[in-house]
Amino acid sequence: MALLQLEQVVSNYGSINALRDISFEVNEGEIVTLIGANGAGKTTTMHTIAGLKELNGGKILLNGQDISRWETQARVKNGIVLSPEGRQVFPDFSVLDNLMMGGYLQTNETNQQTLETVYELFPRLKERAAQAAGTLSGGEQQMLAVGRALMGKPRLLMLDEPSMGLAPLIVKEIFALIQRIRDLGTTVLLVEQNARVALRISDRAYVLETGRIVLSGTAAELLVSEDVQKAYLGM
Amino acid sequence: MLLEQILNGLTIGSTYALVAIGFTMVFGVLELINFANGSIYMLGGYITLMLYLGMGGHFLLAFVLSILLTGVVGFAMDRIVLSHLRAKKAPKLTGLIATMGIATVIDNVILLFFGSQTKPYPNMIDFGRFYIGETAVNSSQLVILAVAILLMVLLSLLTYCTKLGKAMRCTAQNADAARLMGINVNLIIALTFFISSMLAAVAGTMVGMYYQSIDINAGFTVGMKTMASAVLGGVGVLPGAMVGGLLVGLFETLGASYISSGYRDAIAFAILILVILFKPAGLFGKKKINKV
Repeated sequence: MALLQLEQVVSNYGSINALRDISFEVNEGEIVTLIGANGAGKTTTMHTIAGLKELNGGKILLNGQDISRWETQARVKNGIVLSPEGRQVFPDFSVLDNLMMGGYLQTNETNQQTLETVYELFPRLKERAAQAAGTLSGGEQQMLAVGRALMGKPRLLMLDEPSMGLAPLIVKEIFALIQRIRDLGTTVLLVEQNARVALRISDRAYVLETGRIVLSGTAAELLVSEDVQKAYLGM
Repeated sequence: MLLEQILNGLTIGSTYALVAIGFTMVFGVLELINFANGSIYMLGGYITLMLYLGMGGHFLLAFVLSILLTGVVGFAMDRIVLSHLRAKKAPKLTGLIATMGIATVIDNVILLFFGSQTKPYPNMIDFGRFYIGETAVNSSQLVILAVAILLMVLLSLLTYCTKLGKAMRCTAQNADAARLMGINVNLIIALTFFISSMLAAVAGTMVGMYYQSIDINAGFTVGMKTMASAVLGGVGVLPGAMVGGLLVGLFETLGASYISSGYRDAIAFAILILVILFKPAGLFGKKKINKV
């Protein structure tokens, strides 16, 4: 059984259909990527899974259980954690406080343990623990956003555009870390405009176009697919 | 004389500060201007009076019950009205108009039950007056200041040192991100209304005792002044509301005694306008930079 399954999910903004009949699945231990142009519905998909955006049709299943009507906090508690587009760290809080907010639903002991794992993955965050998050560089804020999400002990870690606005070298670093996070046992659902980098670390991928899935396959297949190359890899 | 006036100003200012804190907390989590805050302040004063008279003189019990009941009114105001507007993604202006509507309802319910005449209020904190040097000090003033300072300390501890306070500050900084942490944002908002209404009830009761009277216009005037206090200190900033409240109380008292008592309210607002001209974000406010 898939860890996460979307069945014919529909999501609207007023009279505009953002998602029309989206179905896909994410299996335990995979890195799955959604690629697509601006406005294709990637972020809406993430928000719908996280429960920030209500569902207007279809179902979302977590381990076979229908979670379509659950509040966001219930989804977080059950391991669906989103690191949102644009990082959205709490600028007035210190790095450490931001991380601790990520573990809001966890016990203190769990948080101490997870914190060590996060510091091991992102030593930079440990160095800057006392600094206000708003004063970090873009790359550091992205690391904080991912670290904060990890504090929620996700079974499914959702990352929305982790490469946005970052220098290529830092993008590389972040993607290497995403792979490591998966190797430590966390399933990852990734949304990226930077399709090439994302496909290289992914197992499978889906291509979204104006609210529909138009193509799917293993990452290796999509990397060499002519359609994908033309539309998203700029070849 | 000057010291007495300063003490008078700080006393009334500390009650403004309590109401302003509630106003600023709600603004912080919702970016909503709560026009009902002044009415809730007045409601708290009236409920204490009603319970006190109805229970045959158990003042402390009446006071505590009134604080809780007024808190529940604030909580209900969010759950019954404002939370539904948020769920429907109504524009901020709709929320603001709704609070005006709630204020009207509260004012008229009070009018219905108590009538429009000024009611005498028992002063339970008057233990006589005494002199420090030449300065006459009223014991009511000391009690009011002590209660206000105690509540401000407690509130600061709540906001900066507890998990609930951190959740409130997260919600204030970024509600969607707070939701993604697993914070029940709607509950946090309702609790903020609960706390702010309790503070208003404390202030409403203390001012009733201080002036030994309460009337139906108290809510509007104090609502405006506490809004001014919050803006003066920097809206959404806790220490700003505290200092802002104290300053407004001080300005209007000094203005009333040294310039003209007829200008009491005008002086407070004139100084507010001056400060805002030179420091638009308020004394403690941060300039908000909207990154795109």
